[in-house]
Amino acid sequence: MIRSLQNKMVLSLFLLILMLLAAAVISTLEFRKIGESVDRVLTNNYRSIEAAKKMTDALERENSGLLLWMIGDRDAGLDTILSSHTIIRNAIREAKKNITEADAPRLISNITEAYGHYHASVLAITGNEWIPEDAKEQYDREAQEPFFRAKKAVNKLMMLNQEQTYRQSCSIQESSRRAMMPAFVSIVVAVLFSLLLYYFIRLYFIRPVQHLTESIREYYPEKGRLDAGIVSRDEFKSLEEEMNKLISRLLHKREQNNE
Amino acid sequence: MVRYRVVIKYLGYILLFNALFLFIAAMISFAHQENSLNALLFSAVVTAIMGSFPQIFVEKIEEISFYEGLTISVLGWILTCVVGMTPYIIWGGEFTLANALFESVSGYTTTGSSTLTNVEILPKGLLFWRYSTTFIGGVGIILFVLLVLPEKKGVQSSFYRSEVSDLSKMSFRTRSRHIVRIIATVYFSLIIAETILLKILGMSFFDAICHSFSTIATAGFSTRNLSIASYNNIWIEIVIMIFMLVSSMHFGLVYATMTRQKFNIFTSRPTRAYMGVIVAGILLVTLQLTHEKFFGFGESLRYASFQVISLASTTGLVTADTSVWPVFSIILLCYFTIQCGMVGSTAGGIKFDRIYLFFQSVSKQLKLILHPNGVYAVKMDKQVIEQDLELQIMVFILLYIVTFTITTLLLAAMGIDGMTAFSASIATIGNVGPGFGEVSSFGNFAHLPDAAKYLLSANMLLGRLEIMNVFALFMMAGRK
Repeated sequence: MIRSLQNKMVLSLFLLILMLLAAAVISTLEFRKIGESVDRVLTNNYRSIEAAKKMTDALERENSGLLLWMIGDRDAGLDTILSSHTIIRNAIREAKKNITEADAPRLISNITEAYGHYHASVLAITGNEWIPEDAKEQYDREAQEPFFRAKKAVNKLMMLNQEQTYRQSCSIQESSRRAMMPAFVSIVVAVLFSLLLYYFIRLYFIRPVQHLTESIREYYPEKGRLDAGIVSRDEFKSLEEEMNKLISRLLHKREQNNE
Repeated sequence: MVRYRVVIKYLGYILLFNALFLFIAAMISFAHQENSLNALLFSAVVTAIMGSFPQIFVEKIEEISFYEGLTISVLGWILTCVVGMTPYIIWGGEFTLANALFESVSGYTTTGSSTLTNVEILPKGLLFWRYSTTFIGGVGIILFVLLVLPEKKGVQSSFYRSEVSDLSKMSFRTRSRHIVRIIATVYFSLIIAETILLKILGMSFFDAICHSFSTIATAGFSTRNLSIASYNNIWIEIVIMIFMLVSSMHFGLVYATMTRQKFNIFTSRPTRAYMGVIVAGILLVTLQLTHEKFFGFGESLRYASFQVISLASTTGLVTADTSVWPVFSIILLCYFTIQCGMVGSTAGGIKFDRIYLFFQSVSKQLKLILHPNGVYAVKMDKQVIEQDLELQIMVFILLYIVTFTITTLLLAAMGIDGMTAFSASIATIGNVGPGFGEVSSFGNFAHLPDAAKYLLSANMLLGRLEIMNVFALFMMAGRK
């Protein structure tokens, strides 16, 4: 049991500070989580989605390039194929750098495999010096299936990242709530704490002062002891005791003077 | 006269007790690396701080008055429920303000109604906190505090008077200071025994302990969305049925049975009558389910037994969708939802003993009409019930009916259908859990308007505090 009023006050303020510190730490941790989530969404997921989009566009362009080559516009077709190939390779590299999901490496590996297969068949067709008579059949037979497979894998990667982006957005929303709530709870609790502190100050500080003042006002030497009715064992009790000692010393002095 | 500093000091103790469980939940969350850690830890710290603050200023208390005990008891429950919702509301998810309060009140009052549509996604730490509320609420926060506080006799007896009903004290054939220990012994023994049995029968340790908390506290929370039905294991159901039944009986009698005393659950007349009514209920529901070809006889008996015991004991765990059962069975189950378990147990509601005494009192009045000069007494296990207590029981039953009627009307005024409104009212005031209609055994309270959730939360608290205490406190405040 703490008896000293000073210690009581210090300890109360320490508790208040501790609570505010806890709120600050929890809010900071949650804000850091928000930062990490935003980073994941913007830096990784968004880049992966962009890379997947580039892959889809480039795949379509490479396929158009092949068709151009097949209808006779060989140079334009080859240029398109080569530029698209570069874009796809870069996009795959980009996607590999921004893996956030457990399933992403498998999907990227599927894309690489299917695209490699497709690109090899494109090169096989365009490797001829002239346009073969069965070019369309060769395209249907060798290029079409890996083309659709690669496109499907790219779409899956894009969907995976889009879902992850959605989940991260929800998580950001939750985290922002979790970051705000400790502050909100702290405000409410701090208000309650202050009201309680006011009550205790009134009960243990102001009321004893009032009682002491009142008992001093109503005191006359014939009463003997000064009784302020203080039951606590704190500084006010000491003050009451010291005042009684002072009174007895004064009374003693007066008696001596009278003699 | 109520000394507020005394009330504040004891409310502080109650907060500290809650903080202890919040810390344990936070540790579980930490061990599982969950996102509920911050919410639980922060709630624990704040609760501990608010609990220790009054201890700094207020001196040791030698004695408290009955009114102070009553005030601490009622305010303690309200404060506990508010504190209990803090981790939920910080964590978020499905927990809006109304949902968090509802879930917290439902846990502490051991009602077991829920606003959650998917319990299985909750982190383990938060789940543990959810079950801790039922664990604390089962025996009652005040009795728990009494158990751990090294306070004077004067303090203990005032708390005891305000927390334990007069009717409940009758079956404790021992001195009041031993009663808290008896209650705790029975409570912990049953929890340990059930946890071991459920673990042996294939539940994970976490599920086993959570379901034990839920069963012995007659709460009805489950870690699974489909409650006990998700295990589809008849042995688990039998074990849970036995423990639900035992937990709904007077703990003094359960203790007497455990210690092989003469006056026990098998010799107590009200307890035998209680078991008889339950058996009759099971048989009637079984026969109707079989007759209406819902299930074969064996399955009907299995589901009827579980549902009747679950509702009669106010637990509310579930193995079947009772909302599709025939009307007669639903009415019978509604009766058990109103009747509830026995006094001196963890069950809520009117309590079977009061209904038992009510019928005796009715019989006495009828006899007095026939023989005006006759002397008749209402008895419970050979103990004569005093006129005051008899009247108190009648008033309690009347107040209970008035309260759930008003709640039903208010819910209906909010646009909720009749069956849902009625069953939600009786299920919450009786601290049972599931109702019928939209709040049936496999349903939940999520879709109800926020105002309805607040109203039902108040209903649960009224039921847990046995209505009279709350009204007595209001009267006391009004008189002042």
